[in-house]
Amino acid sequence: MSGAADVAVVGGGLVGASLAWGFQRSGASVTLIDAGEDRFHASGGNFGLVWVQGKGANCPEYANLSLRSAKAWQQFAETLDDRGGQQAPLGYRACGGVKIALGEAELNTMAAGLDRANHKAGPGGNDTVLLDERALRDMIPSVGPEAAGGTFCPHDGHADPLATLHALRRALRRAGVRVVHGKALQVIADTPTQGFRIETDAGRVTCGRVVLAAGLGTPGLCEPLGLRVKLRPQRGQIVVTERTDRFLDPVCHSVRQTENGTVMLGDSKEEAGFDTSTTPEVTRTILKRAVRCFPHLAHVRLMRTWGALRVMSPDGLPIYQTSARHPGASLVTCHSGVTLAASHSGEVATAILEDRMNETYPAFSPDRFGVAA
Amino acid sequence: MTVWKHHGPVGAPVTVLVNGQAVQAHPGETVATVLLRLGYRAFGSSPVTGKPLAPTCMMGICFGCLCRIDGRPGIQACLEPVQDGLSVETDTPVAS
Amino acid sequence: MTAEDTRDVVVVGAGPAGLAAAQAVADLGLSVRLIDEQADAGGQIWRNAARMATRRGPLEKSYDGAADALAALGSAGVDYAAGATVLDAAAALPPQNSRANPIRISWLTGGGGGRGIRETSARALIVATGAMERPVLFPGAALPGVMGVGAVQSVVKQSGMVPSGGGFVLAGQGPLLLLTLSQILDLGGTVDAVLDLAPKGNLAGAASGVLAALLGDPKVMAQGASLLWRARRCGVPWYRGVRALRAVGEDAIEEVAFEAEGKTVRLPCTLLGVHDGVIPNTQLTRLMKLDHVWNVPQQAFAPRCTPEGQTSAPSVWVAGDGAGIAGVKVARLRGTLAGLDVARSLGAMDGPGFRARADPLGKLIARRAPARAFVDRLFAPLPVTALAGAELADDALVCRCEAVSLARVHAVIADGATGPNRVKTFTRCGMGACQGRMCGNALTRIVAAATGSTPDDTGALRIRPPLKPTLISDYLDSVPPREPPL
Repeated sequence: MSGAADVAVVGGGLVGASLAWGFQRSGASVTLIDAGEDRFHASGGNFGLVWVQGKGANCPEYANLSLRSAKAWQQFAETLDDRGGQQAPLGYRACGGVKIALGEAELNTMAAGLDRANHKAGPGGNDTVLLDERALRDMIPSVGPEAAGGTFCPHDGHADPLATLHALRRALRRAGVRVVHGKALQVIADTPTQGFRIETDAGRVTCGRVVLAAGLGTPGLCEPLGLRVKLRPQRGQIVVTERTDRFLDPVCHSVRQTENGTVMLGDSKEEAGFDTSTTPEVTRTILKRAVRCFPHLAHVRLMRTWGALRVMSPDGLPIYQTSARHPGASLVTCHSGVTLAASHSGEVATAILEDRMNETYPAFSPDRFGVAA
Repeated sequence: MTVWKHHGPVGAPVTVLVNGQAVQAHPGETVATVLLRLGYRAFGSSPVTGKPLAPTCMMGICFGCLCRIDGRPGIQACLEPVQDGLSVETDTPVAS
Repeated sequence: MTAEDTRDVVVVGAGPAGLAAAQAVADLGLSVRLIDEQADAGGQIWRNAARMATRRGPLEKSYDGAADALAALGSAGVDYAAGATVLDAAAALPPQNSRANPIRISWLTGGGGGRGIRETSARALIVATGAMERPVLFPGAALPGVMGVGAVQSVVKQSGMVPSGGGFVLAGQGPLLLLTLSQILDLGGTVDAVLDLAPKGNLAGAASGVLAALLGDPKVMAQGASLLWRARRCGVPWYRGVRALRAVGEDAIEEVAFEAEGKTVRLPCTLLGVHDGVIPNTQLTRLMKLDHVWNVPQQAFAPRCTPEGQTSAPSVWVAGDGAGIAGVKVARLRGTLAGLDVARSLGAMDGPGFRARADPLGKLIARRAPARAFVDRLFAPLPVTALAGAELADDALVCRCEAVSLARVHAVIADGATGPNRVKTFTRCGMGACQGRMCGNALTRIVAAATGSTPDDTGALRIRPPLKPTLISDYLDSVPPREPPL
């Protein structure tokens, strides 16, 4: 059994793997604990947006973190994609993102929302602009007759979340990071060493620091460490089609054509507990809207639908915390694991190693949920 | 070269269009068996590799027999019975 | 457009098991929706029964019982939907299954009466979707002209044609290979060679069970012996202990290459029929998230069920080869048994009445088990990578639809993909046109072996709706005209 790692990360999805890679590149020795594909695994069901517009309408810190991460994504992807020289490393395209408004009423609602957001953000926001019908059609000629315009942000983009996770895991393996394939059952602070003991169903891990990044699996591990999290699963259903001729270059909020030509259609926000089933009603709702946006999709075949569980805090903002009682224990959870992957592997990993997570991200502290019971 | 030949009586023929050409087919045949009889071993090409794609199971499992039938794309030819006037297009283009 | 209706029972699959189940249920006064994706009922063994069942000749025996079974289609209480595709199915689990109709099926009606999605709710579901041939991994298997032996037999039955003119080679092992060889020769077709892939030693392994098999099902044993005798004497060159099978060609198969008796052989070949047994088609039972158990002798998953066929979802039954490979006679018995158990469960039959009919069926089924076990051992499935090539060459494809090679699967397992679904997310294996049907069985076996785990622990590909790829327009009430995008 190898000796204690500097950092153990609990959770091998996009959040955990990004952080682990960031720690490893800073020179720390890292152990990753991953319970595998049977767990909730939000990273396996992701839509793939690297999204900035609309984020943090009430929280400038979140809006700015999203923007910083989006701007760092190209570099992040190029470093990880070991095929080298790819036009779209990890499938990432900084192509700009559009939310389509169908009909005047939707466009007016979007315009009002954008006004409010711009007022709050002040000058230098995230450069989201309103598109009228002409501007939208110039940008996306394939859009249907009902489209009345939309909002556009040049910093939005999309990536292949599965390729990203695979690339991270491969990079960790090549760097010699130890991966424990097991479920973390308990994390115990070891007072004498000020380190931690993590009991998993595949053996014990000892470490100097521990970072919980296990998505919906995080809550059970928090209490003994003086960490706090408030999460619930929020289901989103996604539909994916067969490959079809390229018709969409920017990415839309709920229609995304991938590098290989398949089209992903979303989405929904449902309180369905931990049930990842899809329902005929939501499938139909998603398809109806998709065809209203892009009528030619009616003649394309759908291959697969799935439901995935967003890791959702009460206000939708991330939860980042370092424990006051045990300063070596931290937690990182969010529902935007793709967008924030670049920052997680960069500034967030650094903030944790430099013991300044709480000061750097005060808006993400769980203290905002009120005094703990 | 393997050819397919009838081993028993065939019913009254119907006419189907295969890539624009009129051919005879018999009740009981599926679009896939007609194509095999005509000498097609591949009906399409792989959207991933571009290589020829062919049926292997003849029972609706392998999806190697997809054709455009009566204008509808991606139909499993092995499940489609022949009818008078039916039209088949093989190797219909799939996206880049 | 969506229409809704309700029935007591839905049966999916109109092969021997499904027909028997539908008949049994309807005879007891329950209403049945029978859904089958083929244009004509009969499943695989009774394919094209309307035209073939009455023909005297080599195929005749296969259709024993077909006419009687197909009478179920005309039974009062049976609504038969041909050419119809199930898209999604859900069974409410306890405690919600005390609802009147715990079963919901979404299905696409056939071309005839206008396409559309129907939603049928029911009190019980019987899944009788049968079996599929086990895809065999070897270099060149994806070349046009390489098919399953069962596929060749399907063409023989469906279209009334046989391969002739040379270039047709059979490779593999199993009863279906022997039967198809015999039928094709008797119908005037030509077979250039048989490549027997069975490892030597299978007979020794099976020998201890031969007496019990003979006593239990003498008919099947006699038929098997007769086919083996025929095969040895038919004059077709027979190569034993074949290894390193390869299909060779540019755009289609032109040659088959292999090793036998220490020599390398190359034969001209334009049609190669391959067979290594059949396995349950678990696509629907997986979509419904039922529990499955790995059957070791058959090297395949089957749904976990009671002897009557009730699955881990109390309102869902399975019957036929889809519940475990056992052949047509057992499929009919299990279909009837499942139908009776459903009827009993819905209150259309009392306990004693059920036992009076079910017990004899159970005995008949049990009697055939030793013969099945014998056959399973005699034709024990090949190890999954037995033919893949020593250097794990890139042309042995695990997933044909997305062109994922065995070498690539092993590479991502090394990257940390410890289960088939992670392999899928890292390679797209299982994301293509066939939705994981062709690669699923091999993927479980490969991942289990590579991770030192059992198939039960390794699990299988997650199957999601729609059960078959479906045009988006089929889900819509109104369809925009077909125009390419700008």
